[in-house]
Amino acid sequence: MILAARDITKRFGGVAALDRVSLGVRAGEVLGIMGPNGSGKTTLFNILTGIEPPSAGDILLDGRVVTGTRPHRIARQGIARTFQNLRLFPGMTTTENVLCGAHQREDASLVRSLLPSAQRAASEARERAAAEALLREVGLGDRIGVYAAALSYGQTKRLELARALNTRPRVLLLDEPTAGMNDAQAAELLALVRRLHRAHGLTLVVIEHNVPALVWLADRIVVLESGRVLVDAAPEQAASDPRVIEAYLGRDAVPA
Amino acid sequence: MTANYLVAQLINGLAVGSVYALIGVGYSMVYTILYLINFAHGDVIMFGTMAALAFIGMGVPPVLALILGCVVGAALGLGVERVAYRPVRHAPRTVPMISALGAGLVISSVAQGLWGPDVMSFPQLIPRGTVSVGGFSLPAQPLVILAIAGVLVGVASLLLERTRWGRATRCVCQDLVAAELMGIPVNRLIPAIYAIGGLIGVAGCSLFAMYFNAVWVQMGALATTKAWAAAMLGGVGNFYGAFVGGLLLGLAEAAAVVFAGSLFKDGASLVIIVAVLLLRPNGLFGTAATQRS
Amino acid sequence: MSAARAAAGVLLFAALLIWLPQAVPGRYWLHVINLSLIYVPLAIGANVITGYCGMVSMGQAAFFGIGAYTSALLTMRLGVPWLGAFAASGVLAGAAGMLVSLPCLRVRSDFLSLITIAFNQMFLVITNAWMDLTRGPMGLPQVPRIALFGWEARTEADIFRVTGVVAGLCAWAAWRITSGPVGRAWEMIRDDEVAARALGVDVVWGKVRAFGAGCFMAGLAGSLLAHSLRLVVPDEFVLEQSLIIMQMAILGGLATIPGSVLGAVLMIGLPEALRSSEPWLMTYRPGIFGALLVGVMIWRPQGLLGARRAAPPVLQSLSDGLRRALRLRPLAKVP
Repeated sequence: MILAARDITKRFGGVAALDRVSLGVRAGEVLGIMGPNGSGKTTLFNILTGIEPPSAGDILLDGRVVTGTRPHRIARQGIARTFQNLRLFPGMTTTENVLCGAHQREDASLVRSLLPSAQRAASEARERAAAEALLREVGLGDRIGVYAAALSYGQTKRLELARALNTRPRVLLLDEPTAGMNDAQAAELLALVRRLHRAHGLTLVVIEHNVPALVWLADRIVVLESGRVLVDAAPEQAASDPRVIEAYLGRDAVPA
Repeated sequence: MTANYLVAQLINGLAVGSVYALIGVGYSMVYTILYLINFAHGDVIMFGTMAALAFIGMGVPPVLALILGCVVGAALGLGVERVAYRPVRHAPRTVPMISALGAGLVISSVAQGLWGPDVMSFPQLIPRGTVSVGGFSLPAQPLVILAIAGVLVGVASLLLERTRWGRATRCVCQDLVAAELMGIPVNRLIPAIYAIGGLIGVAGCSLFAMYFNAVWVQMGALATTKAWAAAMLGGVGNFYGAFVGGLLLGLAEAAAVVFAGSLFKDGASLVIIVAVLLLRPNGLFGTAATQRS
Repeated sequence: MSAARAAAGVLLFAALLIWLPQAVPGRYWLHVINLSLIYVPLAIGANVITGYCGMVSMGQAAFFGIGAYTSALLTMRLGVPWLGAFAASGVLAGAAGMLVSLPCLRVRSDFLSLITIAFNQMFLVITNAWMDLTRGPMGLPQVPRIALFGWEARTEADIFRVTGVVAGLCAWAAWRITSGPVGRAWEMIRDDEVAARALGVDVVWGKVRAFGAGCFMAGLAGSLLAHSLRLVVPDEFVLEQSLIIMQMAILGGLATIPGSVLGAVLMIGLPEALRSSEPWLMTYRPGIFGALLVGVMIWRPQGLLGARRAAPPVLQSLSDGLRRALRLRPLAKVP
C-alpha cells in the first residue's frame, strides 16, 4: 500500500465524523470512495493530506507513519489533491497556475534567486514547456496563457487537474471531480482521468457521488457511512451490496 | 507606600480597565462575527467624544451632550458599516480592513479640521475628590466611573440574555451562516452591532477623557491598542471576557505605575498582547479554535 | 532579460545618477527627490509584505526607526564605518521583523496588523524612555555624514547619488526575487493559502521571509534617513508614518515595483515639494490620501501603475464591491 489510513477516528465535539476507518490504495490503483452526504469523505481527505489531524489513528505512506506531518510536507512527499470547491489562483494565467505545481521542484533560496543563472533560466524554460504540454494533454491547449478567471467551469476543473499533475505526485486525491457537471461533461472528464491514469501510471483516490461513473472508473470502492467503512470491495460488488443500497436509498429499496 | 495608596491605585486601575473594556466591546463584537478588525472604531469613538465636548461647549446640558455624543458614535458606526464594510463583505479579510482604515483616516482628518490637533480638556462631570470607604480615603471619580461602566455592562448583558435581539446577536456571534439560515436578519443585525459598538465605545471614551482630562484627535489609536489588549486577554469573542480582560489590564497598568514608573504604563498593554499571542492565543476565556495561519 | 538589455539599463541608470543633479534647479528640489528616494525602499518593502504576500503591516515605521537608530548609534558610539552600519541596519531591522511576526504567523495571522501596531508603539515607548541610549525625545543630532572609503557625502547631489544607488539596488533585488520562485510562492500564499500548502509551499516560513525582507529594506532606508538628515528623533517613526508607508505601496500599485517608486514620490515628494506653497496639504495628508485610497480602489484597484491583472484578488473584490455600491458596472476582470 502506498497510502493507507489505519483506524482513523476524528471527533468534532461529541460527534465522530470518522470512526476507526482503515483503507489503503496500492500503486497504480484507482480507489473510489463513496458514501452519502455527511459520511466523512472530505474529512478523510483533509486528514490524508495533513490539513487536519486525526483524533486517533495513523496515516501511513509507504508503511511509514506520517500522522501529524504538516500539509506542505505531505504534499512534498508526493500526495497531491484537487478541491471540491476549486482553489485556483484566479489572477494567474492557466500556464502560471500549472507552473505553480512545479514549485516543489524549484530552488526557493532567496539569495540564489538574486543572481541570474543560465541554469535556472534553462530549467524555467523546460518547466514552461512541460506545463504547456500538460495543458494540451488535459484539453486546454487552446487556453494557454488565458487568465484562470476567464475559464468555464469544466475548464477550471481540467486546469486544477493539470496543476495537480504537475507536482508529479505519487498519489493523486480527487475530491468530487464531477461535482456540478451534467452527464456529458462528467463522462468527458472521467474519460480524461482514465487517460491520464494510464498515460502517467498514476495512483488515484477519487471521491465521487456519481455511482455508475465511479463503478466505471475505479478498481476498488470503499463505501463510507456515518464515519464507518461499510464495504471495501470490487466496484460491482460494492455498488450492489444491500447495505450500500440501504445506506443510499433506504431499506425499502433493497431488492428482496 | 501605604495600604491606602495601594488600594487607591487598585481602584484607579480597575476604573481605567473598565473603560478599556467598554471601548473594546465594539472591536470584540465585530471581530467575533466577521473576523474583521474594525480599524475605524477608534476614530469613530473619538469623533463621538469630541462631538459631545462640542455640544457641551454649545451650552447643551452635559448629560444630554454625552448621550448625543453616543448617538453620533452609533451613527458613525452605521456609516462605516455601510461604506467601508458592506460593499466588500465577501472579499478576503484584508480588504474590509484596508477600507476601514481608510474610513478611519477620513474621520480623523475631518475631526482634525473641525477641532484641531491639540489636546483639549474634558469637563469633569464627575467630581474629583475623595470619599471615605471602609476606613480608606479613596478617589471618588474612579469609583463612579467603575460604577457607570458596571451598569453599562450589566444593561448590555441583560439585553444580550433576555431580549430577542440579544439572542439573535449571540447566535450570529456563534455562527454567522447558520444564523442566516435560521432566518435571522443578519443584514440588519450587523449594522446594529456596529452602531452599538460605537455607542458603548463613545461612553467609554468619554469616561476615559474625563478621567485623564484630555481629548485629542489621535486618542483613537491609543484607545485601540489598549482595547485590543483587553479583548485579547479576555479572549476575543467573549463579552464578559473582554470586561474581565479590561479590568486585568487596568490592574496591570496600575501595577506598572506603582512598581516601575508611569513611563512604563503604556508598555503593559503591549506586553500583554505579545504574551497572550505567545502563551495563550485564545485568551483567558476564549473558546475559538486556533486558526491555522 | 538579455545581457545586452541589462547592460543598457545599468548604463542608463548610471547616466541618470550623474546627470540629474545638474539638471535640477536648486538644492531644495534635489532634497525633495532625495527624501522620496529614501522612502522608495520602504515602499518596496511594504509592497513585498502586502502586495506580493498579502499581509497587512501597520508598523513599518518602527523598522524604519530601528534602522535609523542602529546606523546612527553604530557610527557615532562605536565608530563603525557607514557601509557597515548601513548593512547592520538592514540586518537588524529584518531580524526584528522576523522575530516579531513569527509567533503571530504561527498562531493567528489575523492579528498581525495588531502586533505590528503594538510593536510600533513599543518602539516609540522605548526610544522615548531609554535616555542613555537614544537621548529620548531629543533624539540624536549630528549624525555623521554618509562616508565611503574616504569620500563623504557633503552636498545634496552627493546624497542623491547614494540614495539613488540604494533605491536602484533595492528595486532590482526586489524584482529579481519577486519574479523568481520565492515571489511566486508569496503570490500563491496571498491568493490561496490552502492551495499553496497543497502545492508544497511552507506558508508560515514564506510569510516570515516576506516580512523579514520588507523590514530589511525598511532598515536600509532608516540608515539613509539618519545620515542624510543627520538627526534621528522618535517622532519621525510614529504610527501615522506606518500608515503613510502602507498607503504608498497600495496607492502606487501593489505587486509592482515601479508602483512603489511612484507611491513614494506621490506621498512624500509631492507634499514635501508643496510644503511652503500649500501647507494645508501636509496637515491633512492622512485624510486626503485616505480618501484618495478609496477613490483608487474604485477606479483602479491595482493602484496607479499596476497592470490590471496584477490587482491582487483582494483589491479586485474591493473595487467590485465599491463599484456595486455606487451602482457602477464592475470593471472587466481580464484584458
